[in-house]
Amino acid sequence: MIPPGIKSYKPDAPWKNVHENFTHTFTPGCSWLLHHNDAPLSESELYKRATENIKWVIGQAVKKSVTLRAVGANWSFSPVAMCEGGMLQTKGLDLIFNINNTLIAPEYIQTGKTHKDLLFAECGVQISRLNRELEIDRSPARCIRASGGSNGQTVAGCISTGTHGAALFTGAVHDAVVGIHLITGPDTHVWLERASYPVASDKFIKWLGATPLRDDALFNAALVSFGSFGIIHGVMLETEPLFLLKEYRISNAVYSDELMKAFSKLDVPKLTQLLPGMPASVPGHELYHMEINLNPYTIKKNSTEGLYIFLFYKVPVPPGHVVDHGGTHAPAPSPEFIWMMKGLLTLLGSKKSYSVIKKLTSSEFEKNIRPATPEAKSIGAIFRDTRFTGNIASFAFAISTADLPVTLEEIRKEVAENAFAGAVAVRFVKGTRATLGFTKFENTSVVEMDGLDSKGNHAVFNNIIQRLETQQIPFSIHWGKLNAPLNKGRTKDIYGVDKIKAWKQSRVQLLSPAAQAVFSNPFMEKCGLLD
Amino acid sequence: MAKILPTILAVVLISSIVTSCSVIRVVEIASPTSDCAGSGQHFCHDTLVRTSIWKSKNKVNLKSTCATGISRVKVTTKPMDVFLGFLTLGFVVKQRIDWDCAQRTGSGEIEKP
Ligand SMILES: Cc1cc2nc3c(=O)[nH]c(=O)nc-3n(C[C@H](O)[C@H](O)[C@H](O)COP(=O)(O)OP(=O)(O)OC[C@H]3O[C@@H](n4cnc5c(N)ncnc54)[C@H](O)[C@@H]3O)c2cc1C
Repeated sequence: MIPPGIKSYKPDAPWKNVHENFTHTFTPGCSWLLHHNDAPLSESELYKRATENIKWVIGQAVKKSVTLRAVGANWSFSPVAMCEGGMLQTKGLDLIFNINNTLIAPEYIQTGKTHKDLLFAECGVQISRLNRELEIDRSPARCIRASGGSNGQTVAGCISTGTHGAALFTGAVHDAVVGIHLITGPDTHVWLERASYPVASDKFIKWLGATPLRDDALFNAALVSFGSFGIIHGVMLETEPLFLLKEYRISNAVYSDELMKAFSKLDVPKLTQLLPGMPASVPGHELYHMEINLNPYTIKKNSTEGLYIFLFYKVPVPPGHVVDHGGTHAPAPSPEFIWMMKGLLTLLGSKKSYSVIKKLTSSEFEKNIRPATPEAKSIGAIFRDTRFTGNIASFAFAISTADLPVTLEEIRKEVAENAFAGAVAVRFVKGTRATLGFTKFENTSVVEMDGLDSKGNHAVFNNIIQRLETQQIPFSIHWGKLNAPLNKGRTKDIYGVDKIKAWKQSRVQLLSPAAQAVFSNPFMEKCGLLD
Repeated sequence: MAKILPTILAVVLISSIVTSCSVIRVVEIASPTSDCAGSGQHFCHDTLVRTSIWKSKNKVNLKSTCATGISRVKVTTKPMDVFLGFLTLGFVVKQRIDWDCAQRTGSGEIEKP
């Protein structure tokens, strides 16, 4: 008998990720959907029932000797959430809990923080729900520290691949996670937090019924582990009192060596001198988010063409400000247009299509650049629902910000030779402590190449990785975006033998051999993370 | 450019006929949430409906399937089915309805107050 709160789930065959970059077939009869719909239980009881249910589904996978993996919003461009056995649908696990003083560790209070800084979210809570809860429903209002560019991901899905925005002094979404409730087997579940930063009280852990594990290495390994460490049931997140972000867009900056040097050193005073209209970063108006958007076809040294800099400054909430997560978007290319463009480019072949791509890409790029919004807005109001649908590609790699100037030149050279149907952006992110977090450089620059999911674009992604290797520029690749160039050798080169060993050892420490088999997938194998 | 024009036209024509569908309407709240992930561009729940424009009651009650409300609905009619509706003078109208139930709102307490 299937326990209440679980439904057998039949994934479409073939299954596709949201942007239809791959297809996958699960083993019939092995997938499940978790929900809270049918019971007159309190939220606390629903959570505890869901913990038991997750254990139950893991037990089924062990019994049948099949693999199982959680799926969040299915937003990843890579098959990181796919396994040969079954999927576990988690978006029905959407509870958010308030934390009171009795639920937090005395050591946490000694850091000067309080229960108000914390929130406990179930794995399937979408970022949009979280933003609404914190910014609109909560009083006094709060907000998350960092977000991706849009808000459809689940909390657990986000942290599992290292989702980031451009919070240059704050970090990625997972860097605000301070505790993880991890279900590791049919009879085991743990509360993981850093020994160096205890958060939960014994009472909280007793409520979960989990085994407490206060260990920095285990926590850092599990934080970005793309479903390989079991099922994350809930996470403790640190939040901030609500602040707003005031936007500035600079479209007349000169792409000069001096400017790139200032970016590479994150030399904010120098940037303020060089960028026309860049305001000073001062208390009450501090630089928070920084990104560069560039048209790789038109950008050239000592010219203002093709270079756009987007800055957001953290400002206090003015009295009377009403947070609004609504509003319309500028239209994006339709799925049909994307499909036809892809077909057309394939038909033409890369040589013939170069000028067509260059023209179309440049006009699309310019169309998408809009002036800054004059009024300051909250994170939830800025990073909203995505306006892109259909078969699009997104590739992202990280480098040390110190290597940004030479990396951008390599991209320019590549695009001068091979057409890239898309746009290039750079987002600045503070480095992470997660063992396999791809934002691994102390000052990380994530270079993103979003565009058509075409053969030509995939070739460009590959060529760029090869160029970085030739130039000996250390890099890493986003786990949740297109990442075909990742393989065993590269994963080892990117993270180093010691980190990979530590990550694998943590997995062995947390999961029994049977559970390790359940939470394995071809993606891990490809990256050399299974042996 | 003149040389590639016939190719462009052929691609447009073939793609419209063979694979594309006409999405009639997508209605969604701002930043929609959902209770499970659908495959590809599909929403979490779907059903195929066969109705007639001549029927007085053409209601499909999706709301009852969502404990916490609906966040978005998409109605898709395939070109073949548009054609079928036309041929049968509107007596046979086939459509696919996709919808997502919203996630709950608000927060709960771990301990009873
Ligand atoms: C429109 C769009 C915009 C995006 N913007 C950004 C961006 O701005 N910045 C960025 O960094 N990325 C971005 N991404 C990538 C995206 O944020 C990541 O791929 C993210 O991991 C997707 O979250 P998800 O909830 O869809 O998880 P899924 O894609 O479903 O899963 C991702 C991984 O998380 C694991 N997982 C999910 N839930 C659990 C759980 N409960 N327990 C254990 N493991 C779990 C899965 O097994 C899988 O390995 C974007 C993607 C899209 C489609």
